[in-house]
Amino acid sequence: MLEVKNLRKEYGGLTAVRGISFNLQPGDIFGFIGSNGAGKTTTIRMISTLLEPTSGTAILNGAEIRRDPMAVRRMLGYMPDFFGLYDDVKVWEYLDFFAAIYQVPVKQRMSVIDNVLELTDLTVKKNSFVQSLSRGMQQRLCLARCLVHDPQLLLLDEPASGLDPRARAELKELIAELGRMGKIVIVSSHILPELADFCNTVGIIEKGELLACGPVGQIIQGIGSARILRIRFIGTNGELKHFVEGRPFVQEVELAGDGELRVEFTSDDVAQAELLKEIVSANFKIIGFREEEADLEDVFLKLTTGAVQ
Amino acid sequence: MIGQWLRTNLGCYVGNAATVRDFRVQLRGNRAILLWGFYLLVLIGFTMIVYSSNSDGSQTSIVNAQQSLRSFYQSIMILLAVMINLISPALTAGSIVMERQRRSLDLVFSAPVTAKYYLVGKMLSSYRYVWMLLVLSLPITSACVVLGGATWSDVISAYIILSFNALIYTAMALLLSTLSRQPVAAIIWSYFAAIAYSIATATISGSAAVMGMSGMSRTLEAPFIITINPYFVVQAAPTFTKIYGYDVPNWLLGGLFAILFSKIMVLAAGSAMAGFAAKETKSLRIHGLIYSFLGAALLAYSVSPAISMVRSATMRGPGSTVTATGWDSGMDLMFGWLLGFLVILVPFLSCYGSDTERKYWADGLAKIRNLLIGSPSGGLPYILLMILAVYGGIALVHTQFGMSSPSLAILFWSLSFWAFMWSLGRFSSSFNLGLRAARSLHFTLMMALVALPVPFFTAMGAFSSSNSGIWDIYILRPLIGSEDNRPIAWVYGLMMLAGTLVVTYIAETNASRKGVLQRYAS
Ligand SMILES: Nc1ncnc2c1ncn2[C@@H]1O[C@H](COP(=O)(O)OP(=O)(O)OP(=O)(O)O)[C@@H](O)[C@H]1O
Ligand SMILES: [Mg+2]
Repeated sequence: MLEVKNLRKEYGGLTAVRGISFNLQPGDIFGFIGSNGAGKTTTIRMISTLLEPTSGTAILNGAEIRRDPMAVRRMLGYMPDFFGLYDDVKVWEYLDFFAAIYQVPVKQRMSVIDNVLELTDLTVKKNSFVQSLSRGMQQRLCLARCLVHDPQLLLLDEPASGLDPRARAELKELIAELGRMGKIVIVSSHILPELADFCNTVGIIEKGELLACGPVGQIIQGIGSARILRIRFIGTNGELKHFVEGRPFVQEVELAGDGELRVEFTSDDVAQAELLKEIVSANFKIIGFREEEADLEDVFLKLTTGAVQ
Repeated sequence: MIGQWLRTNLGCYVGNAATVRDFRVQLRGNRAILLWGFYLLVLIGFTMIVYSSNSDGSQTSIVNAQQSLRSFYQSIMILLAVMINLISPALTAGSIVMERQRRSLDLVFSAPVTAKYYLVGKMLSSYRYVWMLLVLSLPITSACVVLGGATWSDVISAYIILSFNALIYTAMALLLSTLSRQPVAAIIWSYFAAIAYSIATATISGSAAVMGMSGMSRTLEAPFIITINPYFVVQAAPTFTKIYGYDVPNWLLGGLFAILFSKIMVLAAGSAMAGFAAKETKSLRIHGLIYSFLGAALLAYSVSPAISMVRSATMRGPGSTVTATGWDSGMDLMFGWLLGFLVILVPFLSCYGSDTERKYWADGLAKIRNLLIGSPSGGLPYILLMILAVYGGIALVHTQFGMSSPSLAILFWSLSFWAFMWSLGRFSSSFNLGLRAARSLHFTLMMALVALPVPFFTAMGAFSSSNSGIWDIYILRPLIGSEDNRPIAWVYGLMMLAGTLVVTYIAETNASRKGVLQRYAS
């Protein structure tokens, strides 16, 4: 279990992270969303013990990042957003090096290396030089390196950047698999659709502050102060718009293309049914009436507008 | 418990993962073979030239032949000294800074690896490469033995001395590699340091060599510091030091010195890589104090008895002008100049400014409890304690030999002089230019005070002999001249103390006016 408590980082004058707190359980896949410069990398580097927090702390399975960094490091695998590989080193030697510094016993190393290569689909490249790998393969190799010691926590900073769609899909599958194995996975990204379908928890960070954090559904609901209704109809535009505008709980109505209205509606299901009934009884010809599903992107945009300066 | 400790410590040196990985790379492909081939070619070519130039003409006498073989051996050894002086920094300078540039350090340090483990691994892999090159040259030097220019024991101790010197160069380059941001800067600084080290130790080793070879009986007893410069390897190889009646070979003492030296370099590099109040910093600071004490004691041990012997010989001799006070003030000068190494440390100890790890954020003027933390407020106590440690080391040895310690006057002057230097660091930092800029400014200020007047005063003094009094206003006045400097040291010490107070006051008001101190206080 990972507890992040009031983590804060100042760089001289600038405060990059302003007191972030959240808890994660084994099996959680945490999507860490924020625009450029929001503080994702800084937070992840603090949890990975590479950066000293100005204040606050994080505790991984009882080990504190400041007091016991070595114990924390043994339990985590960190994949940075930018990283370099060594020249003139073969893929298996590269992994062997990391297995050695993670103190994997010599006898098990070869089988561990074969396993992680299998998992990341790099088995055919075992004897290639790392600098000859493509960007996506290097990315996967870095992920493989994070796995040699079977960590409890994976910190993946924008793991999908530079991957082709197919590799992305495979990466998602791999991350989901790691979650099923009971690991805590933190994935940062600013590409939202990438995270939505396999994270079960998300945190939205903006200017160093965690604006929302929790299970995906809960966040979307929590933010949904106004639901968006889409009404398709036959007939003239003006009349129906005028009619709907007069109904209760309706905030804003706009025409969305020909024969479709977009309505911001601030009440619950019962009122929504009532609205439909009224429209139909007023003899408008309705061919579609649906609530637009709010997604992570809406939530993100909603939460972060205004915060962007 | 002990087994665990042994395992973690031995693990650094045996089968270090970084060394294993570098080894695979070093031996990979044609590059290594090409490099070694080229190296051997240079070596053999040089040997041929030296040999033919030595053996031309008809040598009839055995003594002549012997002489030329000896000088042949000497040239080879000097060539090897040049080689390690040039190759060790080049091999090591890139090791850390290149990884930082390539962004591969984060990968390593997110694993349970201590800075020490990785640094030692890196150091060993370049050091081993130097060894490989040394071993490759063995056929040529053994030719000398076979031909009769040297003995096996000469050659072996010479190789050991060379390799320890290589370790010193390697360790310096490793530290500079950790401190640099650009590989080019690391290489330049490493060469700079290696050359500065060679020149500085050449004077020491050279005088030690003279001391060892002086006298009618060409004794092989010499101060061990003869071994800490590679260019004196031939002279140093057969020497020894008498310690409590035992003849301890100097390569052993030199090796000990090299190991301690490289240890302090690795500790410094580790401390530079670690965060705020890390235990690496604490360890470095403790080692720094102990080593200053031991180093001063060792130096006093190896130099003072010899000087003392020379002195008593000359004082007893007819027409002697050396007086007891002259001797004592000589000891004072030695102590004062010995502290010169602080000039490199003081900018790191006294300047403050913002950095990402809050290691150097201003945290007050001087706090004894921060002595070992590494934060700027511990700077002044640490500087003063280090001076006391050096003094203590010399004083200890001198009482052992029944000689007098450096005077309290010079101790007082040293403490207030370095406190003044410290206050210049506070002053440089108070402009809030950034940490690096503050350090550079500090160093420049110190140099301006110490080095800049020298040519000026020299020129002034050259015009007329009555003008030589101009040196009286030189800041290092208590460290020059041959007469009794103690009254001058007291006066100058008081002046330095006053200067410290004034500059510190200006620095702190300047800093608080600029809001530098408050920003970090919260
Ligand atoms: N070493 C540093 N020194 C000073 N400021 C820094 C440093 N590293 C990061 N910052 C600042 O901290 C803030 C957060 O940066 P961070 O890298 O955490 O953002 P991010 O969310 O990872 O952005 P991106 O999506 O671009 O990767 C930025 O304003 C950045 O300029
Ligand atoms: Mg980032």
